[in-house]
Amino acid sequence: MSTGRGLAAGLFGVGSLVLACTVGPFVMTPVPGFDPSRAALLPPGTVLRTVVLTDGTVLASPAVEAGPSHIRVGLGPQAAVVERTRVDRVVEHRLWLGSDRFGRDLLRLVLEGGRVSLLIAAFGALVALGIGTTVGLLAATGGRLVDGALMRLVDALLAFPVLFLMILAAALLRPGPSLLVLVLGLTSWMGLARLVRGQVLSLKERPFLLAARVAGTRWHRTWRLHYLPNLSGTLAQDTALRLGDLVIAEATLSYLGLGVPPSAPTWGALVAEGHVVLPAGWWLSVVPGLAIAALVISLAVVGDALQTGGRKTCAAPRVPVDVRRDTEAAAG
Amino acid sequence: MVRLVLRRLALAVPLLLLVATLTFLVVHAAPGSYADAVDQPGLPPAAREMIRERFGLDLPFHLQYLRWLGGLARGDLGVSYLYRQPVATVVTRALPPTLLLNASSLLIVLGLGLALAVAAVRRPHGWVDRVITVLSLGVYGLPTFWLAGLAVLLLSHLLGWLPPSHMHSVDADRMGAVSRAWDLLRHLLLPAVCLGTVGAAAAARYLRAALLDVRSSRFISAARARGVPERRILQVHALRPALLPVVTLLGLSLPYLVSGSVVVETVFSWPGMGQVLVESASARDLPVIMAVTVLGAAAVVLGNLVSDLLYAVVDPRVRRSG
Repeated sequence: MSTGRGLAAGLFGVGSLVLACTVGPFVMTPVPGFDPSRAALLPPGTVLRTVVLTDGTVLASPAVEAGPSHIRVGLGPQAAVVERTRVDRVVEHRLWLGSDRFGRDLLRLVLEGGRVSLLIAAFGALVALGIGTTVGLLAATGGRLVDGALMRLVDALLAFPVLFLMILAAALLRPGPSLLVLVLGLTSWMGLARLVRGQVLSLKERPFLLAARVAGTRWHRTWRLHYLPNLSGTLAQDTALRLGDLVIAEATLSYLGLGVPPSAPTWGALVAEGHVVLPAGWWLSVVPGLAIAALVISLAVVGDALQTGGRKTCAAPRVPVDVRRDTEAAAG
Repeated sequence: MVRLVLRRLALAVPLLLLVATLTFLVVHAAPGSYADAVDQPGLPPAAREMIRERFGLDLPFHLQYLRWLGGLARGDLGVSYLYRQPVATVVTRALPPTLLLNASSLLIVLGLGLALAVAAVRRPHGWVDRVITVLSLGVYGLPTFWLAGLAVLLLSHLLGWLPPSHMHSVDADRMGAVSRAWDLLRHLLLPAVCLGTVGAAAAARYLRAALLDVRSSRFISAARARGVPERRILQVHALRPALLPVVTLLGLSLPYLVSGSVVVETVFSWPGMGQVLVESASARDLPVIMAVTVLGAAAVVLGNLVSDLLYAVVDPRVRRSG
């Protein structure tokens, strides 16, 4: 697979998932409510008829039978018989992915859960990106003592199995979505810090940075104009891969019951809920898992493509960004 | 060689100390102190005082730390709130199942990973290579808990070949030794394969790259140019350098296995350390959480140490420079 094609395919996968999760819930036909007693555990593809009564009560079932004066909703002992005059309206929609044990539409749950999962992973990756880049830069430019202290900290944190750190933090903080972002970010920046440190150490000795040092460029200017632009490729590729890891990490924590509270089910929590009804409601755990897999694989393809692309640019180094502006600034 | 071992050991000890310190700090920096976990509404003040004293919660922070560290060094890990037993007892009961699960998974990771990588490298970019690459990428993207659930659905619920959870059957106590072992094996198979397959996918990706690297190195071309037969090149010249990545992999897969077994143990109700960790995390059983975290980190540090030392055994360059 060529780099360009891989990148395009990966970005298409990520993009369509993000689009589906953000826009999807809004363009879907709104469901009046759910009916746990009659619409639970319907297999994918079922057409559900929702009967809304004038007092606002919602009755839903795939089997709705209309008689001359009464409407029968459901089958057997679960069925409800209501007079026609009490019926406000009947909404019909297809449950493409079936319903869960509370009679909720799985497609809607997966899309809404995906939005939460994506947001948490994205902000977590952002936190990790910020901490990792800062620590890496500080270690590489801050002198031997700072470097030694920071890198020993990184070594020690890397010694923990990441999931242990996350479980530890999640258990102590009992996170909602925003704290979960912090937990994920704070436990996954160490690899990036090492990577950035290594790159900056080699950048430091390149002529344009020596020139900048001679010109007396202040540190924040060097960081902004020299280090960050030259690190951007590494950062992009690492973040693409990290996003996938964080999606899985978030799903794992939610699966274990240590993630977001069940009121906002993310993909991991949906799989966990699906496992409760495993032989009968197989689609409830299979579908959200496939969604996770699609996202993570797309992200891995993007990361791989960026990595091979990055290697090519390393072989033929680009002209370093903004050498001239600095020398001019120093001269002026 | 002895100097190398000593030096690596000397590096591992402060790392372990740092790991223990970080664990203690994280636990104690968290909102809701150690004391709140024991505290219950309606507890008479005298009893509260007694509990605080018993668990050393009335001591100043640094003394608590030293006390915990001292206990850790002596193997005294405190008393669990949840299980109402010494933590050491809880851990020693949970350790053998985890070791069994991890060891069998490691075998699968190494065996399957190596087999896939060798098959892929035989003809780089051939169709075998492509299928293996796509498959390992696919498996890498699947969450372990989901894969495990799918395996249970297919092999236990639909086909009924293997038991879906736990380590023994209910009537295992009344079985003979042989059928008991067979029963254990049947229970072990699903979790070990789930944990091993995901690891093997990552291993195959890593080993493939490493083997390709060895294959294209200059001493292989030199051997070929001298007319060494291809089989001898593969078995003698390429094998030893190709063992290096396997050894690295051993160290690398340890944290994965330790973490992964948390998930797999939960899915399969396997009575090991992972389940203890999740249970104690849900119940905020701090002594157990701290002990298991430190032990997990220690396992990783020791795994890296062992892989470093094995590296020296396999690679004469490392041995001499050490």
